[in-house]
Amino acid sequence: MLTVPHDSTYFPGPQLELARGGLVDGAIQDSATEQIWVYFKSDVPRSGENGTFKPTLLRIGNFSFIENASKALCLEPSASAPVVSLPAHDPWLLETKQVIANHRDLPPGWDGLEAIAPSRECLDAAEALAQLISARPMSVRPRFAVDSKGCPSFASYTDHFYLHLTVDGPKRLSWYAVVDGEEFFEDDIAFDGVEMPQPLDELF
Amino acid sequence: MTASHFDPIFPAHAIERCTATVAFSQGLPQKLLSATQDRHKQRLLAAGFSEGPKAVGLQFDVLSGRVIPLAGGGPMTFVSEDQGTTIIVAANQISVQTLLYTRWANFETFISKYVSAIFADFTDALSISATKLEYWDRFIWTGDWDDFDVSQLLAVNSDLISARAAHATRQWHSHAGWFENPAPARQRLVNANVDVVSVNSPNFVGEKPSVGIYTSLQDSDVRAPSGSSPAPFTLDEVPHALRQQHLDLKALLGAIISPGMAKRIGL
Repeated sequence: MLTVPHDSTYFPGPQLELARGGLVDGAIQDSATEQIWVYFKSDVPRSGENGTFKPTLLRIGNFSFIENASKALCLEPSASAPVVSLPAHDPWLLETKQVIANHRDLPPGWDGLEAIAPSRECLDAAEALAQLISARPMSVRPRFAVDSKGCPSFASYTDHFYLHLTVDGPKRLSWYAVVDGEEFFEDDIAFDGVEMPQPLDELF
Repeated sequence: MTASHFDPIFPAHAIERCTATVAFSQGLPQKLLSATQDRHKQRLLAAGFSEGPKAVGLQFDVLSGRVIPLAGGGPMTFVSEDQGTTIIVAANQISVQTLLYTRWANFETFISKYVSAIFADFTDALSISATKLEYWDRFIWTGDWDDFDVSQLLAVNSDLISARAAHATRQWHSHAGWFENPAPARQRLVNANVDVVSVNSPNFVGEKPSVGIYTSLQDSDVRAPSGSSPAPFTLDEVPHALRQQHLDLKALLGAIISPGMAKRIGL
């Protein structure tokens, strides 16, 4: 019987991903032995061909498998060259953040005419908005742009969903939307960067 | 001349993960911990969080595979709606970890909005003993190990990086850590680790060389040599302490990476 100390380092499930499947419930690192015990929501997954399972733990480094039971694995530090598995990043979010990054540090007249350069604070707010929007269905996710007044905006247009969302200031939003034929308009709505304003949340 | 270069894992920054922790002088008694966790559970669930797996001490029977919880409660975790940020409430510390870092101001607002109330409940019974801020930054090499050139990213002559390790051609690890005493009864633990490893990701095919940089600062109350009692951190000091750690960690990372990359990630 192995007792995992009560004050062991705890890694919650969402931060753990195994290279080869398995719904991870959580993991605990034994501070004395440096072994990591990984617990699954279901039976431990096994590979089909050779019966061996050598998971690579995200962000903890490379560990070799030493014990196996129905719902747990014990891993210990491996001497082999480590390979770190990165989580999947949302392509829409990556692309949108790249476009936002491309609009940083622009000079006045950046559009070849007389456009005002967007401020760093407004682009930061747009970045935070993009983060929140990325949790929404792809069908309603808008495209990012910056208008000639230097205001970042997001626009989406389908038969059932039209949205034009503008970052008017570092913490201020406005939008016009038509959802299934019904119009919605809000102006000068506060945005704290971590939570979508409720009326906007309801539109999505 | 090779066209291979380093890219941060995100367009505007390289932060793969960030964790802020407030530690307390001792653990909350079990009943009080459970009551505090339950109270904040209701509040956070109403705000769209979901409850993560609750960790407990475990006994693992190797022969039967049975996992037996030990007596006593463990950390309770709450996961944000976008699955990117986790609040961990343990008996002796509270941590906030995000995999979806955007800007410091947003992270700070998140803590203020969702976690400060938990800090406050703990400080009714306990003293704050330490604050800790950790960053995991990652940069991906666009080429392979044959043309890998770590000097395009790292200030390899920096005294924060092991010279011996930095001259390895493939995977290596460098660890630097030390204590500072920024004020009486205050001790600061500084860590700066560099990992050069292969990474894989669903966002690209195969494995690529990468550089991961872990930096952290932990400011703790310590008893002064004279034996006088340390002045505990007050609750009001926490936001300032974390903000100062954030600024100091930016400077620390700036001493590890090249000026060009520092500018590119807006350091």
